[in-house]
Amino acid sequence: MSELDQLRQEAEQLKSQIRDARKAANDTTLASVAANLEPIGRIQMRTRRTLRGHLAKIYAMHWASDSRNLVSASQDGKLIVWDSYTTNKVHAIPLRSSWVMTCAYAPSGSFVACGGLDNICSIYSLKTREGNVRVSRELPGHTGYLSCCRFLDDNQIVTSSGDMTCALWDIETGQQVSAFTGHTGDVMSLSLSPDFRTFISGACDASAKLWDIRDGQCKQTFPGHESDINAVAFFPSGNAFATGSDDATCRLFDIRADQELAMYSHDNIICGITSVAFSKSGRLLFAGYDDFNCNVWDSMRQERAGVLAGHDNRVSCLGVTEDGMAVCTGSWDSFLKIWN
Amino acid sequence: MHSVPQGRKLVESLRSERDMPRQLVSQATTDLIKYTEDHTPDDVFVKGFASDKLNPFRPKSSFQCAAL
Repeated sequence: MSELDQLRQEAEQLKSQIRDARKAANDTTLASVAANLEPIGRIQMRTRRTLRGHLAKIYAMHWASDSRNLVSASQDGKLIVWDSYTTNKVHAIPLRSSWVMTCAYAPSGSFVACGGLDNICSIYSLKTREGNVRVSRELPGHTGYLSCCRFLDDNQIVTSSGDMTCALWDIETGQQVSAFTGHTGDVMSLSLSPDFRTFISGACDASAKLWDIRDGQCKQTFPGHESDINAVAFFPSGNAFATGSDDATCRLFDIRADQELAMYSHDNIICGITSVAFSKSGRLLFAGYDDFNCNVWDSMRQERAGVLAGHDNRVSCLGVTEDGMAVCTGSWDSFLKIWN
Repeated sequence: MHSVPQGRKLVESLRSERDMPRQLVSQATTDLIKYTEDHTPDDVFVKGFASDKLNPFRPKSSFQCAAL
């Protein structure tokens, strides 16, 4: 047997052992443990603001840490920074490439980033001495589209790509500090842990992976979905995460138990999920769907608790503010809506 | 797995994944539920706002002006 065949065989054996180890830890279900939890009742949220200004499909949005500003990206070739309280546009940033797929706000509020089919993560400085917004760094290096990016701080950003890898960048030098390899399909989404030491990636190979940011290693791999994972979001405690997939389900995975705990689905939901986010307590899971709605799930009892209906096209992105006071949905209908 | 170096890296990674200590699902689910219960009092989507004034996105129409 060639060494490659031996390695293939060993890999299959290890995967089988991992399955067995997960089964051994699987002594109950979330459904049974949560059965006695009081239902939370119907969640009724209203649109409090509609942000109008983009001229084409919105692909991404990200709240600033102040829970007031947010940045959105549209294939009209613009990044818009909004004051969500007043609906005013703080900045309208024309992009070099209009094929944008992701955007991010730095925790400090001083930078935003975006990228897409240009394969580049572009960093924009919002607080220049001259008072205008300009590109402060371009990070080329990925050989596929940029699907997601998130700042660790003003000098470090993590990206995910259609080239099946993620990367950690030093923005000052423009270099990749670490490459996170192992997915066998386009990586579509990433979510940083609350302590910024790890992140989760979701990919078209139907698996999610947990990575250590410092050593670049894949710590855990979570199979289960039956199709592309489009969205991932950490549970606020950092010990679990949710995923949304083209298989029409969202799932909850626990990091310490190393396995899937719950599935959020319904026979009459047959379309893909584009985006997911938890409420501040983790009890609610917001999920944006291709059928123009956003469903609100009771994450523990695995029941649908509400619907945010109001968009006239796919909900492509959503996010909950850091202070937990509002959720923003962005859509292919070119509008963003703020709900609570 | 297309090459020996790639295969070795994958096998090493899978070995670590196999050897990681796992918490029982009973403990993991209990911890998650406890987290949600501890933090639900502060979750405005579940509890609502105690008063409209606390909602930074309160309807603009609630700013009332009296015509003198």
